[in-house]
Amino acid sequence: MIKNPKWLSLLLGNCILIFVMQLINNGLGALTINIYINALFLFIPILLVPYSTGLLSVIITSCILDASALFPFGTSTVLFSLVYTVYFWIYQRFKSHSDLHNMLLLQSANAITFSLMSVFINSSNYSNFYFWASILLNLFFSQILLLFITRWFLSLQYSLLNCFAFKSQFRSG
Amino acid sequence: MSSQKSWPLKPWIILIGFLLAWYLLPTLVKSWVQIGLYELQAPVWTASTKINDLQKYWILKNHSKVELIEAIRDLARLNSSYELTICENASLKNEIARLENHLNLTKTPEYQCVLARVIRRDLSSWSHQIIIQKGYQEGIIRGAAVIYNKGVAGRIKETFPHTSIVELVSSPTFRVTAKFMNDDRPITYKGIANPPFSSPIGESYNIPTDIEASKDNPLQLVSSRLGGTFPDGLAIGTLTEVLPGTDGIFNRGKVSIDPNLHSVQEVAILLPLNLSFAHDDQKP
Repeated sequence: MIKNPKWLSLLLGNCILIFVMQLINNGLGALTINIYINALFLFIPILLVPYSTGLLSVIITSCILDASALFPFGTSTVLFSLVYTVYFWIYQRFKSHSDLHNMLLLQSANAITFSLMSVFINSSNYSNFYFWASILLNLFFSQILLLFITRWFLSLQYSLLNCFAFKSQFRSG
Repeated sequence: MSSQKSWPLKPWIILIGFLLAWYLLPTLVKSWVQIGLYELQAPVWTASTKINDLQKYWILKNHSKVELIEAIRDLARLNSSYELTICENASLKNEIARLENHLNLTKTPEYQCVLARVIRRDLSSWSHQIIIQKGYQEGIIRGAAVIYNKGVAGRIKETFPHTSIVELVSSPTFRVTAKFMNDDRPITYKGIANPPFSSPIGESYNIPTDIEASKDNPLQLVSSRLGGTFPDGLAIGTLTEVLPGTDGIFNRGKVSIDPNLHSVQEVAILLPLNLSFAHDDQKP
């Protein structure tokens, strides 16, 4: 996988999205809203590159996300690599690769990773109503934004791959 | 693709291999990777703050001279009121020192105040943190108190060469000893998950049963030096609701925190001058 430098192109695209999301969340801080669309980092490689190349990009991206977080380093690295493998496996077995199916898979991956992260990290807040209200509302806004940002991000990653002369094809129809 | 079809278990074997390698990787290496990746991102956050400053500069440059003269006049008034406050503080400090000597009291800890700018906010469902533009090269230590113009902002959680991570007072993982204004009995304050589109909130525990508060008659919650992090009397929030506790001995309550906490631009870090007063976390 190291010999295939496509992961570098994917990583560059992911870093751009991480920076954009940090700016958006920084601006939304006063409203106590946090947008979470990290499933894009693990779903786009499934569409564009082989498993091991995608896994490398997922691992490094999640390490970058974990670096400035207050929870233990590696929490999202382990979770993302697991979810990436599961979704790669599911994707291989999907007969139809239409946009709708891909979007459904992406939305479910985002909801699952967000919920799992919330449950793992905040175990002392299960009995708190505000905790669940906060999670549901943040998830709602994140899923809506995901609908709009996915097409742009997929195009960005595809352009970056072509820009670095890595001929890549969508696996979707 | 053909190789994936011929060997469908390959992804699972690679994943298990990675998870084993991650588990066996020494903590030192993980810590080194974390610091390295954090330091790679820090200049980007600083650059975005600088760009923001430049935007503000160009906006201010469009203001007319009349507006500037008015602003200077207002600032001059503010400065004279601050000068009066400084004189008042100096006389109060002298009075405290005189009383401490006279009554043989233990000296109150003294702090050095270091101002820092907020370069990033991360207010997710699971933690509330800000990143400030001062790190251990500027003398910032882990566990130090962080305040802003409305009171307690949080505590330094991690320090890096030129940046530090501050855990905000509204973060679900934040916990500190506090007390009510004009009441020395200690209680526990804890941050909780905050609902969107609302002011930050927290919870307080171990409230004595004789204490009552409501939205019409709120009680000011202030910091206590018993915790070892904060000096006495810094505002944390206001207790607006008292509820019966689960143990039946103490009550618990809802604490409203100032909404400016989540849009704070500048904070001050309180560094203990005498390290014998410092909490274990604060010692370098």
